[in-house]
Amino acid sequence: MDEHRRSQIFAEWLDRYRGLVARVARAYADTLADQEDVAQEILMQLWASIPAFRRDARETTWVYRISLNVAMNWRRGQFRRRRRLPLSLIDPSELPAAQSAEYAEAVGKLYTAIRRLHAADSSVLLMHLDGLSYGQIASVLGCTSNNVGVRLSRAKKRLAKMLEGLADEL
Amino acid sequence: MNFDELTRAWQAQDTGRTVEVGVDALTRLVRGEQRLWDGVIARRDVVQVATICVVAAVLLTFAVIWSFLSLYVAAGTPMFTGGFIIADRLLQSRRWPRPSQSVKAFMEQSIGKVDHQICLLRNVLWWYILPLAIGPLVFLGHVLYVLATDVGLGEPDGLRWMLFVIGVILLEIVMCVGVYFINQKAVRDTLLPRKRELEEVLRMFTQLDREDAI
Repeated sequence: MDEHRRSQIFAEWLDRYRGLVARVARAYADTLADQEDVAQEILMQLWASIPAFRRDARETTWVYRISLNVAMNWRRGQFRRRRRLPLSLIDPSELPAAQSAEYAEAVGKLYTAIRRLHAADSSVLLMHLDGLSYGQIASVLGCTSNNVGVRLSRAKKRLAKMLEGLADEL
Repeated sequence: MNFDELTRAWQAQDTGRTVEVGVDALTRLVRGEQRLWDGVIARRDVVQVATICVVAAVLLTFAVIWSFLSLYVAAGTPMFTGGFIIADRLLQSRRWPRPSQSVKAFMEQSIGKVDHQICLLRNVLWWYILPLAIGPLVFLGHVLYVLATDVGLGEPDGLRWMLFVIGVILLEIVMCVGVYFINQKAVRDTLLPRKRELEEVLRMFTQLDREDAI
């Protein structure tokens, strides 16, 4: 694959999945600096994976697999530290929407709770919140759709306990 | 707030949480950084192989000049270790976990990789320490023999040189034992806990499959 085509695909992915990368990074790392580290590693692995990507594979599944695998490995300190790039991918600015204050608080608490869940629950929840189908989640994780349903319902129960006061019914 | 509202709040964050960054600039940065990284890895491999080749070439040169059979052995053993390292890296690189695999497969491959590292370090005596130590030991033993037969223990210089060579041999043995125990400590303190951690994560992902099977 020539460099130009590779850059083109990466630019498309960056445009489409920047939010996804930022969310996964925030769900697995506490501080902004760490989140940028995770995001950077995900982008590097996405770039490296492009030659192996086949068009018949589902793009979202591919990007999610890489993002989750990298983020979980990063948590275990499996990736060597690289030079930090000035990514500025994640901006701690306020949300512009009308319900921003309430939403921002809810989302902040949600991230804190997700970080405390174990890897299997947090990954299922992340993808479910992002609107992925059970089939897509199963394909990312390598299990059956049935299992995704059971795991999601258990993860929601654990989340509800953690978010007591914020979430009425999950 | 119910789960649907929480999901809406979650999905609304895209607008505020991510900022516009120049896609072209970022692509250039990532591409450049990856090249730099690949360069670092390639340089590390080249330095390792080059060091082994230089050591072997120097020993081989002395072996030819002095016609010492023990130096031929000393030159050959680093080549064995170098060859082993390269062959292992080439074979293992095909089995390295790829982040584009499913999470479960990635975990399984990662455990396999850690298992391989554990196996290498547990057997470090056979493929690293012994081949690298045996050459110099054979050579030093040869020097010791030459000193004992040609110079003799009665000569003050001969005795001094023999004690020096014996000291070097002991130092080499101590170094080998040290390297062996450092590697076993790395297995105990780093690799085994990492393996257990990976197995624990994998267990979380496979728990439901097992429950299903039951």
